[in-house]
Amino acid sequence: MKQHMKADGILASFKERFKEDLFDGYIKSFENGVKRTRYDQIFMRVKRERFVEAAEHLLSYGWPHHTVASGSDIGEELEVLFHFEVYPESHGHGVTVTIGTRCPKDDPHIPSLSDVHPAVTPTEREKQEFLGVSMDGIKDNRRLFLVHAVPVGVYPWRKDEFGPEKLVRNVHKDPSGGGDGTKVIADYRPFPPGGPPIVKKQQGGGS
Amino acid sequence: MAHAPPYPLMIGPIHPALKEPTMFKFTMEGERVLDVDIQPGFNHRGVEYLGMKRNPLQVLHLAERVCGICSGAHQYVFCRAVEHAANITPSVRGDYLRVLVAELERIHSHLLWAGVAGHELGFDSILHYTWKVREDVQDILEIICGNRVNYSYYIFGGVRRDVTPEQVEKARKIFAKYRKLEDTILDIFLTDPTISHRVQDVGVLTKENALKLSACGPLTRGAGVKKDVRFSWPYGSYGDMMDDFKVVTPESLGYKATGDIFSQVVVRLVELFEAIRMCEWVLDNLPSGPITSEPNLSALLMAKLRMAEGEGVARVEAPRGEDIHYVRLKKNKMELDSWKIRVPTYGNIMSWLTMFKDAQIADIPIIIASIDPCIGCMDRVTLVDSGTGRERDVDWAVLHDLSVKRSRGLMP
Amino acid sequence: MNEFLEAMIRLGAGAFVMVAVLIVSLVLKGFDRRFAAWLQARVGPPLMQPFYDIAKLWQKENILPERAVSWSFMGAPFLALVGSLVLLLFVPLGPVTGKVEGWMPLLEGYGDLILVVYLLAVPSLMMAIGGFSSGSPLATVGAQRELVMMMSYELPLSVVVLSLGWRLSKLDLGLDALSIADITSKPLWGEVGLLGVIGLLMLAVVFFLIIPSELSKIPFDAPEAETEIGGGILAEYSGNNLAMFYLSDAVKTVAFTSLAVALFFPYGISGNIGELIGTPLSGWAAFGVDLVFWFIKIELVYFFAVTVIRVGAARLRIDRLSWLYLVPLSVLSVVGAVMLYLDTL
Repeated sequence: MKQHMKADGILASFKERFKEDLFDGYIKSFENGVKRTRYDQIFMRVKRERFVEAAEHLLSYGWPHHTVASGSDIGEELEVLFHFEVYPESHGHGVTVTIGTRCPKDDPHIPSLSDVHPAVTPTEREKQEFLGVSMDGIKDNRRLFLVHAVPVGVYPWRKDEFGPEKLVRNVHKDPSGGGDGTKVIADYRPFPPGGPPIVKKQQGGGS
Repeated sequence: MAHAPPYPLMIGPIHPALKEPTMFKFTMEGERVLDVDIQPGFNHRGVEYLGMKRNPLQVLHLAERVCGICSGAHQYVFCRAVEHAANITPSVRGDYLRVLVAELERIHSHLLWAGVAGHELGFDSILHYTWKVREDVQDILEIICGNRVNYSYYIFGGVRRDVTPEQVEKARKIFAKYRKLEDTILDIFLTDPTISHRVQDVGVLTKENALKLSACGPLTRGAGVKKDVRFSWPYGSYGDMMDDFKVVTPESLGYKATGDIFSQVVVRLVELFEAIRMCEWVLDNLPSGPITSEPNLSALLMAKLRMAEGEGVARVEAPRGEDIHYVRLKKNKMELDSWKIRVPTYGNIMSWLTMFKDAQIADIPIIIASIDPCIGCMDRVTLVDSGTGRERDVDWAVLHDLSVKRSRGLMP
Repeated sequence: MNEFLEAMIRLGAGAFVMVAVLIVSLVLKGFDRRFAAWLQARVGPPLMQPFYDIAKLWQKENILPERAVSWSFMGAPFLALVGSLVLLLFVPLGPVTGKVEGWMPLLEGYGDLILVVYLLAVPSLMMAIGGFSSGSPLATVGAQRELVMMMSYELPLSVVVLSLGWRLSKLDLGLDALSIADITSKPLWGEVGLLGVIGLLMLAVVFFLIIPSELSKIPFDAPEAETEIGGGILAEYSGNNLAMFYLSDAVKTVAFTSLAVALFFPYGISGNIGELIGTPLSGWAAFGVDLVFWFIKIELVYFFAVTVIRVGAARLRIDRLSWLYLVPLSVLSVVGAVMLYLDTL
């Protein structure tokens, strides 16, 4: 019987290997039921340069179960989190591991994990079209969900000028269009030519 | 021998084999599938974006409307994700009741799937039979939750309604009825020659692919991979049930886990009756105590959720597979800062496409149906109710104003 | 000239029969749906539903797909209906003896069993042509399947029909071996020995299993396969084109089941009823009784050969379906024919 590592051990080994390149790394534990059965989840962010290496390090705990990547616009930066589970076939020893990375909005691209884990392709396609972040080395560079609905250059999860606010506010006036009278036609590109839109860094004060 | 050139065959966006709009682009040679690509998104309603404009209590009801069949699972997983983000511990009795409804939902979903699978095979008698049987579990859900479909049963910290002894009595009667039907239902699906001919060695997902592509739910268990969030990451009362129940694979019934659709049928049927036993286990071992740890909703909303800062991931084994929500809350902000839903169908896209390899046209519907797809889930649709559907003559602007007014009224 | 006049009278009667059979066939379809609903423990549509369907379809617009070949697309449903209606002139509809001696089938003497087998292929062929000219990949797939299916069941069907005729010719009664009226007037069951009866039973089984496939019903409905190819051949059809295919199917149902009745159960009960009530029935009364009995017979054939099977089985894949007809059923029909041959020795 293979020994299952505990969450703190997994996080410690990551911290040991990535040191200051790893930030926001912590464990959340919960207990449920009469027996107070404990289950853990790990959150960590790794710098963009070593992100693929971190995902590969996760493979040393056996083949992880990939669930999905989530993405958020956190002001100056974009964050993409990949949610994995290690020991998914165990009886009560699974640990949910979230490995994420961030990229500044004026350089919106992060490395793709498709060479590490083949299951990430659909969710990476989704991140490209929803968050406007380019995945370097993605296996399939088309859009996934928004082909028929949203014009290229609008990214629904962005909270800046590339977000969908204009589109959403005018949708009642323009049911078939992109909010400014243009009709949305099926478009499989995630980005306009020249790559994802770049938000210029504001000089001086923050947001 | 001359070969006809491969030709494209579109299944969808609207097609009798699909209950919801999505599109498969097949490249065919005669009756054989050479290649396949999927184009989802015909029903994308931006639920996640909507969620980022609403406070957690409002999103609770939005989450449940992501899907009509696994509505309970979505509400459950959203509740847990918010609890994880805001560090709320649910009450013990609440944990048990949550699992009760989750398992009831599994019964109804698997019965529904069995009927749909029969229909895709052209065996409509199975559809009529299983859906008739399914009415009973819908009745229990209605007795316990008050609703047949969107249960609105879960709340942060527990559940909204307690079960009374009369309800338990009624539920037990129906469970007993189901256990009597066990042999009949297994017999219909596992021994009928026309069904076996259509599902055996069709749509094979190898164990290797299932692991590599991270399939989830009955699909992966049919391939012999013992992935089940209920047991690997035990939430709710599953931690207490781990000694009495095991992950279901075709081996549970003595079949070989070949990864074909027959294996999935076996897994779903065994899980169906396992779920009934789980419900009875929960009713037998129901602890006493409050049903929720947060009885005061406004205090919960204003004090806990508004002040919470953090993120949470929750995963729930929905009937169709693993359901995961990621929620991030910000201090002094009512709305969710970030929300990501991932439904079983989404997680199974990659595995799904490999199952079509070398299939015949005749196999396409059952392979599509085999993973119990929920395109509405995947596209995160909010269901339009028939009332709104009839009001088509209402101007877009009027509708917009109405919905704005309604939303303003809800905002605290 | 006299012969010509008689033929014209027969054709006039044929026109009446066609209208009557159109109504009877829709009633038969209504019964089928009621019985299927009963077997599936649900309520089911009213008996008149097929009439409502036709009435609705007749009011609807005919849509011509952009890529369709219009003349064959629009012509195929009409020819399919004509083909199945003409079939009625050569198949005995009701009792062949008594009041209508020499009048059933109506064009008796102008065509024999071989012609009937060919005419049976016309509606299916027209459906395939219609499917191919729709220009839709789904319909094309359906049409290919229809042709594969026709090729598969033609062999056992011909073997059954020919061996019945051949056995009849061996009786040395001076009967026309392939004339339907003669086959019907002299049921083989009483004329053959034990081996012959076994052989006839085998042929009957084969013939009965061909019925649902000839009529494209589950489990043999691969050409239409609603959940796979969305109606297949019929995918692009609408309005009265679709109604004509529907009617053609209904008429073919009556023609084919009455052919089955004529070949295997041509008995009437007017004699038995006459004995039962003491006075022999004569003339129109006997004819009426036998006509009602005939309707019950074709409904029974339809119930057991189509309704029960379609309620209790899943759709077969086309390769399996073709194999079923080409191997087991062909072998069974040949064995039945050999049995009939051995019986003559």
